[in-house]
Amino acid sequence: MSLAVVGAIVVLSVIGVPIAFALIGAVLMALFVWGGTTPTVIPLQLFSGAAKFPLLAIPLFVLAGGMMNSSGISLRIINLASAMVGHVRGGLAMVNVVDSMFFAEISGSAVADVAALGSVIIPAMVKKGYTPAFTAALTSVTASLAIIIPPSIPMILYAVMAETSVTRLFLAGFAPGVIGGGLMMAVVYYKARKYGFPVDEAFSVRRFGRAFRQAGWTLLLPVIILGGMFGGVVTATEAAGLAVLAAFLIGVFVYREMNFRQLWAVTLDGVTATASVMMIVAASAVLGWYLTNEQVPQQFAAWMLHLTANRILVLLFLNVFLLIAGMFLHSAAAILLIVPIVMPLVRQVGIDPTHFGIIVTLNLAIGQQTPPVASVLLTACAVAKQPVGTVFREAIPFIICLLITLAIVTYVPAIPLFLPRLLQP
Amino acid sequence: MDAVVEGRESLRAPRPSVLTRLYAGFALIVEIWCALLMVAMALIVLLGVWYRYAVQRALPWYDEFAEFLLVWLTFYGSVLATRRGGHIGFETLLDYAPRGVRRALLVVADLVVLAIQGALVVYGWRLVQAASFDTAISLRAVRLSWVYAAIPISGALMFAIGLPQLVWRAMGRQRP
Repeated sequence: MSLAVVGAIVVLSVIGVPIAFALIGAVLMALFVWGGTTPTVIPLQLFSGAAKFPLLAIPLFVLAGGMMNSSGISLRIINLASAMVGHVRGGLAMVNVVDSMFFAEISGSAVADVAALGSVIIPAMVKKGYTPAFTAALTSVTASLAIIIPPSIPMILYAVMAETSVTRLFLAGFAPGVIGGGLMMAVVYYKARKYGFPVDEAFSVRRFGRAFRQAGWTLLLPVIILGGMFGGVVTATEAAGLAVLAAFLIGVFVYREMNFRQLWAVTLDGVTATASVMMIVAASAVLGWYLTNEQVPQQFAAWMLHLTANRILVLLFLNVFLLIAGMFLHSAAAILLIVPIVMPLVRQVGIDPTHFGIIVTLNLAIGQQTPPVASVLLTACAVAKQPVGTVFREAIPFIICLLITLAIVTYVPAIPLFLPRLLQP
Repeated sequence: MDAVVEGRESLRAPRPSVLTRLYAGFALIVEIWCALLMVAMALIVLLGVWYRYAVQRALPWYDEFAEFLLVWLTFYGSVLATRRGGHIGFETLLDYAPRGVRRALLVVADLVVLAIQGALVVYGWRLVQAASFDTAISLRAVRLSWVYAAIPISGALMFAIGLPQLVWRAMGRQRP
């Protein structure tokens, strides 16, 4: 029966039914065919799936990110990064990595990252003589750091599904984000030496000082968002609320680059983005209810433990499974569908849920870069107007960086867990 | 003079049909409602923080109401997402199919989605009736059925948007 439900979901999705409706439709079908409970349970589960306080952080971070895009903040971040690392060989490519890492700290989504930074930095890099394919690949891959570095929407979804703390997960994302970014900069440096990438501009303290002052208010944003959360002053949702307020004040009163028209567009884009993710959240609660009734997560755990209870092997298996799932599923959908099923297994083998959360997000970050379903890579290709195949080939060395980070994070739990243990024992 | 005005008239785009204008107006109402929900949600979260630190008193209804707003935003927002074609799906794989097959499958998919939305209206409405005496925990004056009602109402609105889209797609025309 559960297999028929899963089959129905796959068939419906492949013929083009949106995932949220495919999930509801499959459970509805099961209830009609095999009876049992009245289908009134479906709207009830939809309601309780969506009515969760930590999920409020999603629309608020999306809104804050959108406001920052239209308030001239991205340009200032690029200027600052350029003043910091532009003098290295391959300067602008380095800038691309650094500004993505910084932007990741105020925006929650990788697609937003590509759209915001890519539209500025891709033309700038191409003008300096970088090939468009390399530029698009780099922008795409660095943007995926956004979902490992807090705040991150996939992490919020994971925390809700695994019933663990959003703040702890955010703290755990820092070290892997820095490792991933560092590895990518190393690749850029190697390529820059080999192919003689251009140097952007000589380092000057005055230029740095000017860029720093111009970015001043922007630099305050991560302090508000992360400081408030990690200091235990506010919850992740409240930090997101403060981020909206800060982005609004900076955009309207400090930089004065945002008008009502832009605010209106940004709000409605935020509503659409939120609703499309939240509908899957709500629908996955319906599926979760059905599968739990059928004891599928427990059966899966028992089946897996029957094969092996070795933590290293289980982690390897989960990684391969998540990588494949990430290639075909949107990251939000992957988390909502897979996490509830594998969580009993993860707990029984003794993997820290926070640690596993970082593994899941890293896998999905890689999945965003690999066709057939590569949301971030496709956005970068669209911005740079380049074919997917060539861009993907250029992205491979950077995807390997992410895979190395994944291996390190998987088998050295101390790296992600160091910060949460230190600050939130 | 008249001839000139008539000439200009013919250059203009054809007047949108009554139905198109009706839908545009209806979409604007949904847009305004969703924008209000988004703003209210941000304000209520900020108000909660303000009360805790500045007034030094927790707002008892703060988290429950914020959750209700999120439920509303999810369902009314998904009406907007339906209109904009923003729901997350697998269309990447469908792009590899031949044109005719692709169109046929999309029509089937649209029919399935309409059926599910119909079911949401029927069973959502039953839930609203079943819960007509349940109230929110923090404020007894608020009935849960007002919150649940978002499900059948948004289901009906999505149906109303999806039906003409299906007809246009089946006839092989682009969305209006």
